[in-house]
Amino acid sequence: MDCAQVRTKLTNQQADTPEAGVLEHLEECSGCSRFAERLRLAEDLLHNHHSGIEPDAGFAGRVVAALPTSSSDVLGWAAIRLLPATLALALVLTVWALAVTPSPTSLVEQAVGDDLWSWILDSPGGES
Amino acid sequence: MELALSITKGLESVKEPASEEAALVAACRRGDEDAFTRLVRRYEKRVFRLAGRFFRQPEEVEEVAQQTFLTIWQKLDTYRARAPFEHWLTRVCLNCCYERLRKQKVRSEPLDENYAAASSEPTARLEVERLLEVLPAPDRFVLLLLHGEEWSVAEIAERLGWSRANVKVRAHRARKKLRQLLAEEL
Repeated sequence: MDCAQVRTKLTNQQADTPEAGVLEHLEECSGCSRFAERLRLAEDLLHNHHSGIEPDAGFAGRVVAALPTSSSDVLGWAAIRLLPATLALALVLTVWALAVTPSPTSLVEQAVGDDLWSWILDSPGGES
Repeated sequence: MELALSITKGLESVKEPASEEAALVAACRRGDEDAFTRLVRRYEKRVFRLAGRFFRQPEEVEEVAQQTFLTIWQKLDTYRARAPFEHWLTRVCLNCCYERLRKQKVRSEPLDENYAAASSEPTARLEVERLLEVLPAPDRFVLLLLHGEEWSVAEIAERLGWSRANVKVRAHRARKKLRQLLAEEL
């Protein structure tokens, strides 16, 4: 077994103890022996790598404060704030519409007058 | 009779947290922020512990934890409750960690200063730490799950939603990279 094979086996091994051929090589090769030691240190560091940081009492509050406001909330808020203005505008428009709409009798009188004038102007005798 | 009663009570006590959790999740889906606060308090230690595997600065760990819970809030509708909520939370947290690690170019802080200082062989340990610092983030991510959390390939695949083949390839690549770095150092 050469150095490259031994190092590949060491890196990929699942068990704690290397196989016999690897152990024999490690006893004879100081480079691979140092490699095995560095690898053990690296795995040890990875295993123990933890910040140990714990959440403080205010963490949940900060998360909730950072929640995005949903679009339905925004629309609900806007609807409540704009409701009085919307109602007032609707009232004004209703009053205006009632004031400018002509009554049925005035429409009939106007229609009869218009027909009479058009008959006089359009008739052949009327043009002379 | 008493035995049967005690078994039933035992089962109820096991079942209760799950149903309480389901109720919390349902309330959160309706936009109940108080329920969400309780959900965050229930899992914040778990999320900090996991994020603490990958980041050492307190502000980084907090930011990842916040991002995890914000994602949970925004994507709660996609949680189908086929698997336990904690599994889904773990996946969201790991994805947040992974995304942040990928964006980091080079580690700015050593892996574990105190651990190195207390070691009987500080020089070798510091050398190895430095090597782990230059290990690409995706490789370090997989190695930390394998050696730190001691998860199997199957567990990593299940919790991250990756295929087993993908995890194996990533683990193989990470080990190869680590091997190269260690060999270069000798």
